[in-house]
Amino acid sequence: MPPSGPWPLLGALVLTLAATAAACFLRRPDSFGAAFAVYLLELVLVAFLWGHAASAASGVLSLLCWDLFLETPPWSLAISDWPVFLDFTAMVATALVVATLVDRLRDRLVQIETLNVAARALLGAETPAEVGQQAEETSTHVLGATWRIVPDGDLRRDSVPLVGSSGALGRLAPCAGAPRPASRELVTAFAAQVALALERARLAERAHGSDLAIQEERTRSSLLAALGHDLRTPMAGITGAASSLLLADSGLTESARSEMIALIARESRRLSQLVDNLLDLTRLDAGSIKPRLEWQPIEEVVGSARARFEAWFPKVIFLTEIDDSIQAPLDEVLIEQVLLNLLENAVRHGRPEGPLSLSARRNRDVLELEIGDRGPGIHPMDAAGIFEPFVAGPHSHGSGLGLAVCRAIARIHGGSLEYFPRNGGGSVFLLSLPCPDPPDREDPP
Amino acid sequence: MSQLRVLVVEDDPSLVQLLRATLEGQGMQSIDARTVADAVSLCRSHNPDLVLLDLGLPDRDGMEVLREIRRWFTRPVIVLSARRKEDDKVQALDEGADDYLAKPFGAQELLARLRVALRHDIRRTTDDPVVVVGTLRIDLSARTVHRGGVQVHLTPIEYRLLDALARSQGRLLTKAQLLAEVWGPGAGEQAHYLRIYMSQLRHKLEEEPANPRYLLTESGVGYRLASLEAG
Repeated sequence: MPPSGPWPLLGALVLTLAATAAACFLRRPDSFGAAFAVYLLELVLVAFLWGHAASAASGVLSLLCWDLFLETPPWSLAISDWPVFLDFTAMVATALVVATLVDRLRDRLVQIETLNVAARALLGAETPAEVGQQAEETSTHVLGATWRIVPDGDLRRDSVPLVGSSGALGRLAPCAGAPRPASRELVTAFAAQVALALERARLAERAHGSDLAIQEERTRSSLLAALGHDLRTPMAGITGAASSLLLADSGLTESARSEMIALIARESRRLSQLVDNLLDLTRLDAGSIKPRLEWQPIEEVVGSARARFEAWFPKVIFLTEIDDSIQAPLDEVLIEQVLLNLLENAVRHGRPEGPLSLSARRNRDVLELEIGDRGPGIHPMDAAGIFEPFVAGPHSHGSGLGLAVCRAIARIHGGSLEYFPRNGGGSVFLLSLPCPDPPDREDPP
Repeated sequence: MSQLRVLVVEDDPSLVQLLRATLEGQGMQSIDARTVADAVSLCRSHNPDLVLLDLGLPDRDGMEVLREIRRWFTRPVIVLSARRKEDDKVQALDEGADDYLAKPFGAQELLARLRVALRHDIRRTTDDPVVVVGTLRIDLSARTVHRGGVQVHLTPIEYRLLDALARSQGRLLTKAQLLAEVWGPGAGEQAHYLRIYMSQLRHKLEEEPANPRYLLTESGVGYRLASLEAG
């Protein structure tokens, strides 16, 4: 677009006067060629700089100047040499046609430049939504009104199809009230760029999705491989023991038989815990378990975990230190499960009869639950990975899922679970949970 | 005493077989039902002493069986439920089940629950006013509580709570049931009060409040008074 305002006309005036002066200087009585050339140059220059309107004004002014200053007699509108004046007029007309062409060319260059800028902006968009946003923004520069991407079936007035390599991607339509587009070609060119960007973004999105799927698939298969191993071990024991017991002439002594029955019971429990943990971990990771936070006396949660634990391990000795005034907002079922998992871990990896230490204290706004054993502790090399699924110590009977579940539960409470080597030998697991001041309540009715 | 009859409402054949073997091993008779319709009609025709009800039945929800038979059947019902379904357990208990067992369960656990449910059922009919658990002696008619022979003073609300638990000794009561029992209907969702009073009771009655022997919590479901033998 040519610049607007008074400057183009002023510029045209100045250049016309300058050309007239140069022509006067260059004029020879028998030859007007040099003078013509000066005007031609001036008119094209004005067209190029300020557009064809300024050029037309300059043309009219040139005719006047020619008549006044270069025609004889000077300072007179009378024309003595008609052929030369007509030649000059034809030259001005030609110059104006050239000026119009130059002007259009310049407009086209400007359009190409804005289209290029738009294309860069569009291709910078990474998602289809961003492409839509960019299309709206850049359309105001390119088309002079806001256009947006609409679904394929939306055939509103002036809309154009967005065609990608594999078919229609939608349509580009002007917003209500937008002026009709000046150039259909420009709209089509812009639409082609939007289509290109849209197709690219959609492909990128799909590719990203399949990347994620591949990664997920890999994690899943490594989980399954580890799980397969952990499932097979107890199953092998159960199958073996059960088939021996079924054998009519096994020759098993009574004590061997009861040992095998005990093995079946023990290994089944292990299997069922493994499956429970696996299901929990999947659901915790998927975010489908939401903690039901309720204010709980910590004493009660610890007590119920301990009662269930002692039903399985009645001989374990406890050293407890529970601040019975603590209340914290937590999901009793989930936290009980964390405590049970940690206690079982402590028994499995520590000494079978303890003593286990169990303490609860409040440290500012954090509830700290600590479970310690006097077992061999965890080798520093192994300590980093213990909360990852399926990492278990070399002599462990655990599935390697329990701690991963515990940590996931701590995290959905906004807390954490950490391991520390214990002073004097053994392991300490520290469960930290947010513990703000309890709300003031009225006395119950 | 005649042979006890247990209606087993369960659709998994292995579990049915196992339950039958366990029950018959204890001299009880097992009646099997695999669908909601069977369960309701067998319960009507055989009038069992106890119902073991799986909440996950193929045709309709086992909860429907519970609702249906509770219209006339007053003997104990124990529901079998999947782990992690605390809401189902609470709902079943609130709708009249006596207890629940989370699958997988051991035979010992099953028999212990059966015994408690049947004993409580007898209690309900004989109305013995004295409940004994460990060193606790709760006299429901005199409204007194002794621990190791020494009388313990309880506030009226603490006593009402203990009384509710003692009248259903061994049975699991949901928070909603206890709230309604102690504070009357409309106490609604004020489970926090229940925890406070339960904690106070534990501090008065338990040797080790953080490791209760008598007043037991079933996380996410409710409370029960243990049914230890006196000693």
